[in-house]
Amino acid sequence: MKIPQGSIKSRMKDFIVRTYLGRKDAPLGDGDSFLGEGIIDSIGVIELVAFIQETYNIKIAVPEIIPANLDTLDNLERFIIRKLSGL
Amino acid sequence: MKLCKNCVLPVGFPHITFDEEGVCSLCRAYKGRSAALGLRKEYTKRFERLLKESAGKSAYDVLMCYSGGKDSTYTLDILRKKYGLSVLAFTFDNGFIPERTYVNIRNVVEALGVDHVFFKPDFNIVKRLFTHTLRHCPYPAKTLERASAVCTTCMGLVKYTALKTAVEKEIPLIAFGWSPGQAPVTSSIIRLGPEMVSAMELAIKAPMKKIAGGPVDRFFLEKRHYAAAATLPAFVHPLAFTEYDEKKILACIKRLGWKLPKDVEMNATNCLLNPLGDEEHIKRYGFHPYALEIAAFVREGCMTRPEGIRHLPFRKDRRLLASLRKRLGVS
Repeated sequence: MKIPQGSIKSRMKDFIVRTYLGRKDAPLGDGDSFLGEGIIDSIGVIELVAFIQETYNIKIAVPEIIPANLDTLDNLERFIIRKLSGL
Repeated sequence: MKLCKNCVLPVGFPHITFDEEGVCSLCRAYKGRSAALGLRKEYTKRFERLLKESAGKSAYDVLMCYSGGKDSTYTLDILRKKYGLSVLAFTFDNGFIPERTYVNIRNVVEALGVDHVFFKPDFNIVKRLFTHTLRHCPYPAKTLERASAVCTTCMGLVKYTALKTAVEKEIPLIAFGWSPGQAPVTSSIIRLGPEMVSAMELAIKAPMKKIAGGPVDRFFLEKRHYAAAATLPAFVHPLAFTEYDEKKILACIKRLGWKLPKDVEMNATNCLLNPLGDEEHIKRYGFHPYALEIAAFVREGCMTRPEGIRHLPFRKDRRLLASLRKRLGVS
């Protein structure tokens, strides 16, 4: 699956901003921690995982639900690219 | 206050838009009751698979966070009667449990044949936390859509004291009585690893520590809990994938000896503090903290729109609110 450069991050940013920050122009840096900044909680993590699974048709296992994969836009992009590459 | 023409969500609710027909974006995005039923069936199967995997591995199959309210009582009934589980009922006493609720808890655990423990934290600590969070929200803004900040404080304490207890007793599941309107069915089974749970715990614990200091630590997990648990207990809220009919629920739990306490709202039948949290929330944010839940009930067909509208108005009982403020020492 060929993903255009930057499209994962912008799609994820759109989801996070729309769902949790409410305003399209709300500031969200690529390295901002969703948990540390209080942007999402446990239900939010599950919603985020469900959104990624549905959007990219990938399966995310419990051991993969960790901050290193899901806690920032940078982490999300790296993680999703890795999953799509089958690594 | 203008409400969605389909559910009861008020205009001005965060993140929600209304179209020219006065229908909210949640109703427009709703995929219909048959899709919701399909999801409920899918999550029932997932829950049953989880039970098969974890059955018989501990003295208790599940720790039930049992507030003594109508929804957690009904959930306890389901866990015992429908699934035949060995349950440890766990009640976090926040200092605002109505007297009748203690009687209800005793009647219900005896009728259902479950072991039960109370956890009563030092009231001076919870008082500081409640007093602060009545006026300020130190948690993610999203939480304010689902509950008042004071309720989120209490729920955070319930969640992590229960988790600590479940890890210590090696109980594989923790159940809550969250209604289908309080959290979506897609989040009704939450399995997370220690790293993620630890990060989430910190998001709740850090603001609490700023408010009440080091003693707060004892309500949360220690390194040894994370190290001891090969996998942490999963969180489940079975009412999200169960038919929810308030009249049937009340009839069912009445048979267990449950009666509605005085001075409580139907939205929170276990806690006297709730009206004060609601009042402050409405004053500050302009919408009822139960609006999202009641709107989901209407959308899902658990109650009619007129019933939903009847659940929403805030009943201002000045005598009760004054006594709650006095107990918390706030003006």
